[in-house]
Amino acid sequence: MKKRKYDAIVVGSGISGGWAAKELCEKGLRTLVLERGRPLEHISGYTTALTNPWEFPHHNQPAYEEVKKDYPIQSICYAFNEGTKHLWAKDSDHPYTQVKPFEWIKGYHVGGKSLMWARQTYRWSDFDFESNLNDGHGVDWPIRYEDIAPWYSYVEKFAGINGNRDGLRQIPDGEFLPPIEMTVVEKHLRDAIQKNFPGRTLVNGRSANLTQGIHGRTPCQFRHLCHRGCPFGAYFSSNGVTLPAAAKTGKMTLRPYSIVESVLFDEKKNRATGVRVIDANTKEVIEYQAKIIFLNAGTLPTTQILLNSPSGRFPDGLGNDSGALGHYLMDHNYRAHVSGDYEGFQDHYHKGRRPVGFYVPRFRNFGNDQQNAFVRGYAFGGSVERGAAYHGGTWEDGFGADFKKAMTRPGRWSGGLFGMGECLPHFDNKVTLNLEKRDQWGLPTLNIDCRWRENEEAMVKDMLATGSEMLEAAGFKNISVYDTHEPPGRGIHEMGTARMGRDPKTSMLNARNQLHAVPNVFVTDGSCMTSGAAQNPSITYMALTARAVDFAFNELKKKKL
Amino acid sequence: MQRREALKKATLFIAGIAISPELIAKALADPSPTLARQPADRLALLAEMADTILPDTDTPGAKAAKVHEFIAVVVEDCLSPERRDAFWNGLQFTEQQCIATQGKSFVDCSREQRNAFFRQLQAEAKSAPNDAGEPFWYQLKGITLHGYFTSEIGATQALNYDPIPGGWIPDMIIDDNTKAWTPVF
Repeated sequence: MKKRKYDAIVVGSGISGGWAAKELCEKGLRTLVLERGRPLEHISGYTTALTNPWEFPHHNQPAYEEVKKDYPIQSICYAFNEGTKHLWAKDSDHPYTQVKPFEWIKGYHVGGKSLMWARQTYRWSDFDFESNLNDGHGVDWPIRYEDIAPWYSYVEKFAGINGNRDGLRQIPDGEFLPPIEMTVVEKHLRDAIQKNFPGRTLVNGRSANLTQGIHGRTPCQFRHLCHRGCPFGAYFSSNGVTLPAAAKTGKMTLRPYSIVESVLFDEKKNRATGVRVIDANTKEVIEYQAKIIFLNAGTLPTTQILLNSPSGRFPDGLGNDSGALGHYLMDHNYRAHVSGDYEGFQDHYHKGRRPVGFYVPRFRNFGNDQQNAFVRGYAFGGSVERGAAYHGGTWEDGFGADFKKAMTRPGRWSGGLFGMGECLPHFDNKVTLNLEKRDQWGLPTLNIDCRWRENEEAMVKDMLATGSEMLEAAGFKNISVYDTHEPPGRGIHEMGTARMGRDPKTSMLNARNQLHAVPNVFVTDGSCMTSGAAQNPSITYMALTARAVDFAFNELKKKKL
Repeated sequence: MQRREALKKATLFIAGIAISPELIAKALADPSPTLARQPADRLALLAEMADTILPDTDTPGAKAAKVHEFIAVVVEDCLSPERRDAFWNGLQFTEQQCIATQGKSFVDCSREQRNAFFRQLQAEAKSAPNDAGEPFWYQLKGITLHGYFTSEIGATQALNYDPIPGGWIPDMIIDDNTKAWTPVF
């Protein structure tokens, strides 16, 4: 068995792992970054980035047999197609058990899901960090907005976030590049909402797409093919932004094909000493040692590693004195879709394809809008644009020359809102190790036992009602109201299975994302989240990661780790 | 200028390392094995039907864009066995219907006969009961539209292809001749 020593180990190279790598390396620490999947180089790895629709064998539709065999779950994701399929982990290679339906979406390659993410970036507010304390669902966050605010600024300046400074308490303003302006019908909808629904506001979406070149990166070219990887480096990904910064220091060793089996623990010193890795190709077992370990494998894989690291001191998984590990799994609830057509502005159009739409921040159980049917609230995302007329052409009368000409025209103004609901942390929404069913590397797989509960169900009903009344007020026609009934997982915001908290008896991590019981292990991916809020969580992972590295480095200097 | 430079950089990287134009040309020249298995009379029938929906006008039509080949390959490769069988059965049934009403194969019909037959199909599809499954007419029309407007001819000649817009214009005034931007995915 080979032995290798580093100052720090980062497990995972996705959104939070990339940030951990950059921050640790820039502080001068020799850092090993372990990625379970294949290498994927910025730009040259984006093999379909400039492929035209007709150059794909099926014009970008995935093939049925391949989907059925290798991607039955991944293919459900909206961003899965013939041009992106190589970026999703094959379900056939990575089994898990759905005790209840749970769609686990995965990208196992350098950069992880930071390549395919939807790039929406909204700060959480004081209101979100106090929510558990205020209504008693879940334990209190050990931090408040003011603890994380400077770190939001820090990561926003480097990542590059576009947005408008709206002055709203629910989504505090940040360090924004210029926003991407709304379409005329979106502005019309915004005005109708403002006039008819006091307390509700439609604002520009905010996203990690550059609207100005920064740090040598090119601004967005408005192709909206982000999910294939951006050859311009115009959106934030580990591959294009944090990993190159980490590599530039000369301190990073990036090792792909490295599946972390467990964290090694020294009971006498009460410290983790390193990690045990299985080479994905050769199945060789290698141990790496380091002074500090950052777990950024993604919520469920990080939880799996901790659960799979039992010892005499921690029989139920590393640092798991509380019994919280694996519990309180959350996702965002994207079930409610409301859409319609707008008949005005027929002589208006737009040019380019935006990587972001609009956003309606949470308004329920906020200010004067108090609800009895549910606690917490939801936001809406959405857009109203014109596609091409042929999209609806199937059900329009006609064929032949005149029909063909009509099909080449801009389509109807259409679009709408989709809800993004907060999910409460519930003890029985959980993952456990399945020792009976092992993967091809001999590792126990996960059982996922999670479902929407009463609060989430009540919220879906309300989203459908408020969404449609807003479209109606703006004069939309053909309004369709739709509950997708999708199970958790599809939101791809799994969170909470190794949560932060003030009390080691009820949580895994302290205010610095440090295991209460093992001070040189840090967890800064989605598993650390104490509540779910309604906002997309990635920018919060980035900020928590940079903050935790800063703390860890200072503790290391003080020889406390 | 920035856009041109960026494009040059990206094309250089991608073309140089991953997908050279030669490779793309080769991939396009290689006939799909699925296509090679398709019976010639089926392709001929699909070609005439698709071209009746989207004929040559000031831009080439569906046959020129090889939409029939796209349809055959996508039906075979991308649809579930149930939907695939339904499509081929629908095509065969429709051809029988044409022979019964027009006295000859759709391929041998005149333009007027084809139009008359399609008007009949359209009327039947519109009045079909909801629980009868999607009428073949709509299946054919949907896949023809999709195949044509994602083909090179349809995407670049019939629509306004703008692969790298370089910027976002949120509002512009258009007239009755403005073509739609080509959707890219």
